[in-house]
Amino acid sequence: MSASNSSDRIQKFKNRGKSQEELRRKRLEMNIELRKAKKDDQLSKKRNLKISEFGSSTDEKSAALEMTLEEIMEAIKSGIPEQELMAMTQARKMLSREKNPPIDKLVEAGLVPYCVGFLGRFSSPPLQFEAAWALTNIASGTSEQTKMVVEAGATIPMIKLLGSPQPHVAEQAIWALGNIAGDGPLFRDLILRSGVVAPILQLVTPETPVTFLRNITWTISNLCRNKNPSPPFEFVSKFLPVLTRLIHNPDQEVITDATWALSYMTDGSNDKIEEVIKSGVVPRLIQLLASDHMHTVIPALRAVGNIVTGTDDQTQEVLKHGALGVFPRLLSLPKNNIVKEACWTISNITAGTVEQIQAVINANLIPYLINVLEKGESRCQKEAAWAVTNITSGGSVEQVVILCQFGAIPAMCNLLTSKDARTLMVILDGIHNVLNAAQRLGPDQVERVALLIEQCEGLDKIEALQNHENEEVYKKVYKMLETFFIDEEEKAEVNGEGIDALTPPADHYSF
Amino acid sequence: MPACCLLRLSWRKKLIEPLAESGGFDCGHTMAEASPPIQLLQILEKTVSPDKNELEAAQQFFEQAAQQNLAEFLKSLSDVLKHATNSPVARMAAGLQIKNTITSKDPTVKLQYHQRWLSFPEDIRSYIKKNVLDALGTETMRPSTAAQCVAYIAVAELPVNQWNELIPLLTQNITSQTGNEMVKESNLEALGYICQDIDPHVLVNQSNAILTAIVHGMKKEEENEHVRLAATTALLNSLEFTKAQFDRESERHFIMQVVCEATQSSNTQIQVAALQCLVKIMSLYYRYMEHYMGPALFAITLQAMKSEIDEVALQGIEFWSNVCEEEIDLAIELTEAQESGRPPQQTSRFYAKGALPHLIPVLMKTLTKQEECDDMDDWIPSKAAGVCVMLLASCCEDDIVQHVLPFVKDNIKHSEWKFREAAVMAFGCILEGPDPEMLKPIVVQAMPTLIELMMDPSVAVRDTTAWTIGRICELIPEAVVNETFLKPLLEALVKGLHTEARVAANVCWAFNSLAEAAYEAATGDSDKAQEPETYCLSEFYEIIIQKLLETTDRPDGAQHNLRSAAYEALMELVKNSAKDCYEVVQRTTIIILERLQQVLSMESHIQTHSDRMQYNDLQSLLCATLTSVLRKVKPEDVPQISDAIMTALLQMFNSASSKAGGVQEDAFMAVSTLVEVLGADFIKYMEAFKPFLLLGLKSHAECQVCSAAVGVTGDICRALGNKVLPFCDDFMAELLTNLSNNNVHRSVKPQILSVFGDMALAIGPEFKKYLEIVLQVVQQASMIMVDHSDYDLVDYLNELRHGCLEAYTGIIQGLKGDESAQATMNGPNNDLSIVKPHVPHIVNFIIVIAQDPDKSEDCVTSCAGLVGDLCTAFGSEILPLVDKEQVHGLLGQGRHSKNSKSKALSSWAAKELRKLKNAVTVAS
Repeated sequence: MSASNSSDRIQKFKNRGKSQEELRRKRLEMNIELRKAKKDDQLSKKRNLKISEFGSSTDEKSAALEMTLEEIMEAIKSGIPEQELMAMTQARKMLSREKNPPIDKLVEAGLVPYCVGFLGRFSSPPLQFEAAWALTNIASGTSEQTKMVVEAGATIPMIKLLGSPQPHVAEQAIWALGNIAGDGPLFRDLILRSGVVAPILQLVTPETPVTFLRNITWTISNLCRNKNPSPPFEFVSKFLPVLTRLIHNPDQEVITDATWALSYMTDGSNDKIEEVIKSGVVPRLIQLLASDHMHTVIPALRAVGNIVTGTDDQTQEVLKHGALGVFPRLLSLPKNNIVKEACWTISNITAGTVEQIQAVINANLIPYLINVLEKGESRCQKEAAWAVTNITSGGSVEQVVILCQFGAIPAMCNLLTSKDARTLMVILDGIHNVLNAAQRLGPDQVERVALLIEQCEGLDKIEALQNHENEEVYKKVYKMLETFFIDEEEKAEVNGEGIDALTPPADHYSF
Repeated sequence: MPACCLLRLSWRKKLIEPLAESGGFDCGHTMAEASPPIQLLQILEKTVSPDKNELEAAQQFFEQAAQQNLAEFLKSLSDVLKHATNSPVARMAAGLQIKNTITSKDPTVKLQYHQRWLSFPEDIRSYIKKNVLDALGTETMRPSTAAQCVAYIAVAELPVNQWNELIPLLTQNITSQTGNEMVKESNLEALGYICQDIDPHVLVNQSNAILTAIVHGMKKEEENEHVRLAATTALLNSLEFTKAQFDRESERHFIMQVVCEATQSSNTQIQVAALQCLVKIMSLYYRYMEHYMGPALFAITLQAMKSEIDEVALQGIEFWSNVCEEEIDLAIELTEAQESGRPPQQTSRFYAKGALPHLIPVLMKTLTKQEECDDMDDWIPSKAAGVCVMLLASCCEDDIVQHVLPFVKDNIKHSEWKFREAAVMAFGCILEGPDPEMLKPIVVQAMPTLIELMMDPSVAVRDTTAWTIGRICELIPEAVVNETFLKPLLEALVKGLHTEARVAANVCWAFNSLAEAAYEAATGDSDKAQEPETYCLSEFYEIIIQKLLETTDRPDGAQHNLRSAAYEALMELVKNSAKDCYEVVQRTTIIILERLQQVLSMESHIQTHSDRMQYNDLQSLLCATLTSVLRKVKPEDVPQISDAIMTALLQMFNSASSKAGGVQEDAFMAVSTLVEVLGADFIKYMEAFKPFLLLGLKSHAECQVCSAAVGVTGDICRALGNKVLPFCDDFMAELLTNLSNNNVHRSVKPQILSVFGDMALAIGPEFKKYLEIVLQVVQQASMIMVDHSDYDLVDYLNELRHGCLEAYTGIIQGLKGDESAQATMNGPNNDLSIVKPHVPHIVNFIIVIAQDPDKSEDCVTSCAGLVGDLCTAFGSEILPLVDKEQVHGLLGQGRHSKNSKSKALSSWAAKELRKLKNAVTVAS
């Protein structure tokens, strides 16, 4: 346990440690290894023992090396059931190699059509299984390789296999379908339109083993996934009742994938969102938002975020179930992605009604948003900027005042040096809106706000933006300066009254 | 090993070393009579004389005086030391003389000296001890020699429960308000030396008093810097046995506070010593550091890293290197714990990961503080920073890349060489740790720049670039072994071989890794793959070999390990060559052989010591290269070269260089390979080789040589089969002698047992003549027990048991014979019946192993094999012995092992056992 000293450390510097002695030691070790192997060899011969006879893992490896590709293909074409199964197994094992499985070689050798053929061999479930497995692995490769599987007509027989009496065959089939669907919208819709939904729904029973269930859920999520175009809703909406159950499953992986599926379904028009809300998943989604498993929180947040992009009523559905209570935690997590999505979600809520904005204020989220504005990562800052600016545009004057009491002005001004023009415009709109709101309270209040902006060097930044390359930015800045900051020296007198309304009080909660 | 005083503050190094022990100069016999103190004083003062003759005369005098009556002589010396009126030089010399009779750097001599000291009469020892204690604090020279005398006497006496009043006395002197500073300082020094040298267990009970005294001296209120430094150094030495104090929160807080304050001292030595304390505390008490890390340690060490003073900066860096090592270990522990389904004992707090954003900028800056000429042994902050980045990369893995990469990108084309070098260094350092898949695209992107940098005007940049390329070849080979980069890279590397030795050496290491990577790319990841017909280096193979051979011949080959590096690269290229390179390999064999013959003929011309060293190294390297080509030569080609090789090897054994252990080891390894490739044909060299082999077996003092000889003996038995019989008597005699000789290192003994197995297997029934004695020896070895808290001993026990198991296996297999059909219900054959009485012991031995929770995988495997052998050899009569729960348990464990060999043998043994059971059931 003693601390290493410099002579040990220097051994690690470049190739310093490779002394004659050290190298000799390595040579000796190698010599001893070789000697040991020789000895083992001798004893094994005496014992009439081949290591490969025993132990399944070594068995598999050596067997896979025993057959060449030509031999495999020959056996596969032989028409002799035993030969076919053995060769199919060999081929599958080659494809199951962790490192660089020879997918292309086997595809070129013409394996795929035979595998597809074997899928229909209900007399030999093991053969179906091996073939489905091989196709799963081929479909897991590049898009080109997935295409080979689809074009060989694997889809329909694969869907038929979902009804196989052998659970492991059905499991392999759903896995293969998941791989194919995951390739993109084209194959996804092909599978959906081939009648995959009903058999999948039948597979989900209380008795389904959890590993199988994971595969099923994952495949469902792949069937709901991807846009441009989104999957035909009339098909995927049939998964809703099953998903409603799956998000209550005890297995975390199942929950996560089911939640992903819901998040994909809510990513679209308001009528889709309506369907999802009707299925009654919202309360559970909000529970999942508070999960300890980040893998689950992410899709749940995405789903909730998608829902609040809907109508005010749909947004209200989320608020009704107390979603905002979870956000202080979400906004404090050290995960930028989650913070970003949480801000995005809030920005869509603050784009809603005055009541909905009030709900955000009542949930005490303003300080968190300000904190993100000040210290967050740039993508999070952008979303937080939207959330704040939406309050300034849709909120009541009182709400804007509250926002300012929490120190929104310096925080917003802080972002005026952002490199992102879109963020800049959002922030400029926000500041403009605050100034507008102040104007409604009276000219004195405009003075207060302007002073606040000046004090945090916001005015310098705004002025600097006059040189911004983006014309829209320039226009906004110009207009703001023209409207609110002309003759500033003249208007710079300080009026004691009303200042409390816009400067942060010592205690943030004393409004 | 080059000592580096910068890092470790070690007072011992500052001592004036004792005069050379070998006298040899014959003069001054007149001084033999009783020496009056005046004379003693004069002679003591002569120990610093610039006159060599006077020095030697003084030495002569001391030796004689010591021989005549050491105890009295020490008394006189202690008188000199005690009296402040004597000259400082005389007192110091007297102190050193005393010290040198009590302690030594050689552990064996030290033990002898301790025993000699303890054998002096009590009154004499008391007299001397009183004198040296009185001298504490009265010296005017630093460091105090009296403190050393006190300490080394204490190191001899405290473990045997004597001088128990010393520690309280020392601690009291330190904490007393009245004591002057010199007293405090020398008492602390004495305490520090004791803590440094003594077995920590001895002081555990007094750790509280010791620590109190030390901390008292370390406090920032202590104005005297010498006292503070002595205290800080003492603390550093005491940390190992003050666990009890660290376990208590309030005391820990206090110690940490004092140490942290000491790091802020304006005195560099104190600062360094305090930082060293932090480094060691971090290793020893990691689990308690969370409380201090954020508020103190992080800031202190980061500040130290930025220091302009090298010693301070080095300690700051060392702290974080150390954190990385701890956390890497904790990560391993966690994985192991998870695998065996238990919670880990300690968990990582990921300090390194958390500190990365702060550490990397400082380390990058430090990397740019390198010096143009690279003194191999200098330990400077820029090198320490490089090693620290490597450790951070291993510890933090993927996380480090984003922090380091911007620096690399910004500086790799910088106009100043220092920045270019630092950028390449930083890049090279992060190649191990992060996911290779993540690094690959980055490396691919960097390759053209790196190849370009191989022509950089700065030698340091080229040096580091070559090293980095070597690491890429080793760690992310796919990035270079491809059509885009291979050719330009090889061109750059070959050119690099013609440049400065330090660059060329790193190029050689790059070739080393490249050869392996290229071969693996051609064979795939299976390790038993066939030699490929061709591979990507084939078309360049001849030129690379030629250039490397030229490099081995460079006149500056001794610098920067260049010659070894070049030969190593050659060996690796030979090992990793495709079939179409065979012709070049053949030619290389001839060249190496010629060189070896030429070198051997030069023996008589060697004059200087350094020539001899180089000559020996060269022989070793040539031998090793021959070994690697031999492994590659086709069996049918071996006879053409074997005579020449064996002649050269015999000549080597015969020459003076064979006295150098390393050369002999390599020569034995070469013989071992020749035996392997020749098989039974090796017999033609046996008569000539035997004397050297027996000499090797007799090298009791040199365990590596002896071990190599034992290994070759086993190889010969296996290769020659029963033709080895005529030599067995001689072998057996030497092997048995070695087993009974206490001077033979224990590591050789398990191997000898295993060679018994080889021999028994080779000569079959003929082994009967040795059976009685061998079985007796093995039985004795099989019953050894060790202290299981000592990991080294547990390892040794496993090796020893493995040796026993191999001996038993060989004996049973050998006596059973080849075709003598499997044992039937009728029982074993006659030869085996001699072993039968031993079988109960053998099975018992297996059961003992089965129940040992610390047994090694090798032991499990060998036990399984032996169980199977017993079953097939003795048949059903053995069933009652082996059909035991523990045996089944062991086989079960083996079957579930990850090791395929263990699995296979356990399954086989279980099957054999089941067969016997079935047979018995059927019969009954």
